[in-house]
Amino acid sequence: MSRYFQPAVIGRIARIGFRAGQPVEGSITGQHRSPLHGLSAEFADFRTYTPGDDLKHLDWRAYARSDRYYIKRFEEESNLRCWLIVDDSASMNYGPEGERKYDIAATAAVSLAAVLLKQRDAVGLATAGSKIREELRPSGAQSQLIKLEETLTRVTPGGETDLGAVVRELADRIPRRGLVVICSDLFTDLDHLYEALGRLQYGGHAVVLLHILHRDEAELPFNDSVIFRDIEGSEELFAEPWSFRTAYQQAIEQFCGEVRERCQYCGIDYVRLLTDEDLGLALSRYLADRQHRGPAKHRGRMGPTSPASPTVGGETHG
Amino acid sequence: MSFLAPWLLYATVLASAPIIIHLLNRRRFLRVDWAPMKYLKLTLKANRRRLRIEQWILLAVRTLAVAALIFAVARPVSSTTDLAGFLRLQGRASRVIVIDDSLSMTHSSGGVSAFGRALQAAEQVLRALGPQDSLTVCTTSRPRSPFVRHAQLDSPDQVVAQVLALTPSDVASHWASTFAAADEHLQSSVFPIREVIVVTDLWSSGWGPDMVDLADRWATDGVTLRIVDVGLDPSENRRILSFAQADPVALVDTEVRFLAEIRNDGREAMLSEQALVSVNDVVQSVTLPDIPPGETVEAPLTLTFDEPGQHQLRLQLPQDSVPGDNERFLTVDVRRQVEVTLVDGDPGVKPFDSETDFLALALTAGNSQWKAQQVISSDWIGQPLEAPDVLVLANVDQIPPERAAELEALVQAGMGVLIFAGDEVDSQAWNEALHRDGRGLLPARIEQVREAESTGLIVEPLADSPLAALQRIAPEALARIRPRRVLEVALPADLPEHVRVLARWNDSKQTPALLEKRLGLGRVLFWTVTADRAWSDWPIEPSFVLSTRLAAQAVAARVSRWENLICGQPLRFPLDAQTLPQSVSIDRAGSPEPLEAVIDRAAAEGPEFLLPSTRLAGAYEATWDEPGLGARSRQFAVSPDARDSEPERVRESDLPRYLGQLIPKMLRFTGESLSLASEGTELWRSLAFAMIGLLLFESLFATWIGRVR
Repeated sequence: MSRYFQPAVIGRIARIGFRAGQPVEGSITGQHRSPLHGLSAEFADFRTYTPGDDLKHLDWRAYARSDRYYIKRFEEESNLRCWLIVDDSASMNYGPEGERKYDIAATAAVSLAAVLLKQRDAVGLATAGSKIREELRPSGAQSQLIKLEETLTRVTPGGETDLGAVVRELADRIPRRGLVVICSDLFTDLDHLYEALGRLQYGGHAVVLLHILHRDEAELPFNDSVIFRDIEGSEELFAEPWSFRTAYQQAIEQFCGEVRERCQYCGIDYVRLLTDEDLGLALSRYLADRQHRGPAKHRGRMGPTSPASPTVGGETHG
Repeated sequence: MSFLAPWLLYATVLASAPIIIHLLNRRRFLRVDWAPMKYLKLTLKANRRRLRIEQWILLAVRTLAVAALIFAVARPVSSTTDLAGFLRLQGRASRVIVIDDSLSMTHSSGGVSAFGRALQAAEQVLRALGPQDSLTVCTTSRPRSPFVRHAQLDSPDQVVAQVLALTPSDVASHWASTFAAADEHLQSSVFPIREVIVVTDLWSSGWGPDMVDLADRWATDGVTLRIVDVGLDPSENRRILSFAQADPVALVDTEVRFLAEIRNDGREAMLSEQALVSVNDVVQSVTLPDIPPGETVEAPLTLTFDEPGQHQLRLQLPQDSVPGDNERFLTVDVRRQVEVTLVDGDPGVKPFDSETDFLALALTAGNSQWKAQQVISSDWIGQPLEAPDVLVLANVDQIPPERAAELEALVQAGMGVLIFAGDEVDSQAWNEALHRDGRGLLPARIEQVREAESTGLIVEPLADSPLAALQRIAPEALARIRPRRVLEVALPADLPEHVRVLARWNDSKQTPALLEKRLGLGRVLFWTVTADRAWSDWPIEPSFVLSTRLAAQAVAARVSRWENLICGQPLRFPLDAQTLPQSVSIDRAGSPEPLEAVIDRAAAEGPEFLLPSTRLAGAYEATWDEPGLGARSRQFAVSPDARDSEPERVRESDLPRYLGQLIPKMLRFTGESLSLASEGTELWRSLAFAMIGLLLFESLFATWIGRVR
């Protein structure tokens, strides 16, 4: 438990905790809101008495005031079922050992899992590229953290990415509302992914998108001629990066910006992480922000992208 | 376009170096496994056209810079494939074409002479000219006598035929007078646009700063000067600089010495080479002394003549690259006796009463080769002046200024004059006529006659003194020469270079006894004592005979004013006004057609016949009929002007020294392809500027496209 279990990172975010922004359906009582009415001390609403209702829930004071029978309902608090989806495609293998995008994704996943497990929430794991390769059913047991770390350590990134298919499959399989955290570089078919995210939203799940990029991918800092070989394919491309660096950076920024905007519009948390950044700091900022701003507001549901494809900066596009 | 160093063009393969370097740089790369290929490709796709254009521009600029460097060092000269375009002027023009036919144009290389190339170039220029222009064509040997004058060429064939029939002359070029003649042709032309086209080998002889004023005026007036350079660098030439008679008088059956100056301008020494000497067409071979390269050597030659009269000599060197300067001609007047005219200013009746009796005896006693003729001064002044080998003026009272001028001309031409003092001498008249403040014949100004206290004659120890032999006789013999009276002369403190005192009287004043003055080719010796016994008893001394003969031999020379000429000089000879012929015909040996001389009755020195200019070297003979005297003839030798083959060419950078502000347009004609190959204006400067510009652009452009974008 040493590779992705980073006490420094976990220590920074454990005190903040994780609150689901929307009601979740857990199996046991927890600290998150549930869509069901239960026995908590938190008043929910009234409803008209119907025969058969337990009389102990009858609000006699309301009867005295209105001469009608009302049943008093209380909110139920439940625990959270979180699915951590870690992209284990070949593209996540970029970077030096220990600082690969996969390493950062796995560390973030383990850290979040540690926080959630501490809150007695259930955490599950799926590592996937174009299909699910490893899967752990959600569990609130503390041993789940060990399993999770072992699973992530066991996985070697490889293969192509089709994150949309994976997420869609999981969306169909997750029965209750919960939280889905996706850790990926998002170099996949975004239309599929957006569609799959829409399904998750349709199922009432809260979604967090951890977008993990290497700084090379964001800035293209090479000063020599480079043959770029597709990490998930066989295509090669000769280029002199200095001659179009700014245009490339603009393209990446546009890509990230578009994903961010769509996520914000749909109420999905989007967090961009660079591999050389302080992960603990980045996660703590995000969690703290989430604590303060309350549940995400969504104005629509995620779906396939508009006809406009990602455009790339350059002289033609300014 | 052609190149002066075309073999360097093989280096143009180096222009591909930037492309090779570019390709090699493409082999030096990083290999990166890359995830966001999609965005990389999108970026490249959007920028590919721009990147490709930038790369091509950069490669092209670098390749062009290297190519410009190689082209520059290959020394290109601008193209003349469009000769008509090169010759085009804005409007109708008056053109003067000057074809250099000077001696240096005979320089040949590879079997083709510069003159041959000049004719080819002239033909092409003539054919490229349009019929709308006015055309004058002349040669440098006869610039004022064009064979085409202000003609408009409807068909150039006739003029071309005339040009192709030209032959080179043996005259040296003189561009100042040639340009002046061309200017006269331009002045009389009709069209305002004027142009002079000179076809020449650009050898340095004849070019001088004396044409700068005219050239500047041309530059101001907008006259265009085009120079078609047909010359090659001089190589392997030998030439005879001069060939002259070393002995002053040539006598029958007496060895006559000649001297030839021969220069070796080649790179190899002339070792025991044979030259040909012909005397009246009888050829004999002589061995020349060894001549190192770059040096001039005097070659002596001795000949003996059997017959008196004029003889034609020709000295000929083996053939070389400039055949025109390999021969030299000389006319020698061989006579039986040395002619001495003794002009007596104080004739007497009895023997040895006359002023010149002792002189006649001293010069002719036991010496059959000397012939003395005594003339009374009054008669001599009234007769036409002839040119003896030695003229003696003894106690002549005065010389009229006209006769003095004639004498000066003869002395300039080589005649020797001996002058003796006497009581009759009118010092004032002599000074005015013959001294003329040092410009006349007299070596010094005559002062007055005074009593002498001399105790003998002192001969000055001069190396080439004609009296040097007197120093070998007993001093007592000279000590016995004690004049009672002498003529005093005024000598300046610093003697002029051509005046010397050869002997002095042994008195307290060291009075000059014999003075010498060189004037042109002749010499004048002036004794300050009489030739008879009026002032001394020296004429009866043996030393008088020796002194007189030495002095006469030193100054005796056959006057040859007319016979030996250099090409380009006028051929003239004086005629007797009483027996003027109707015509004079002049033949040049080897030339089929006789030349017609002009009889100039109003010449300054009396009637003469005249051939204004001699173009070709050779032996000339003039024949004419004198009424009552029958046929007469005279031979002349005309030698080539070897100055023209000075082995040096005028470089384009030297032309401003001669042409001032006038910038000629150069056209180079190599003749190798029998076509005008190049304009003659080298383009390396333009290419160097282009290369620098390309390199600057490359630096800026590479920096610009290398910036992060």
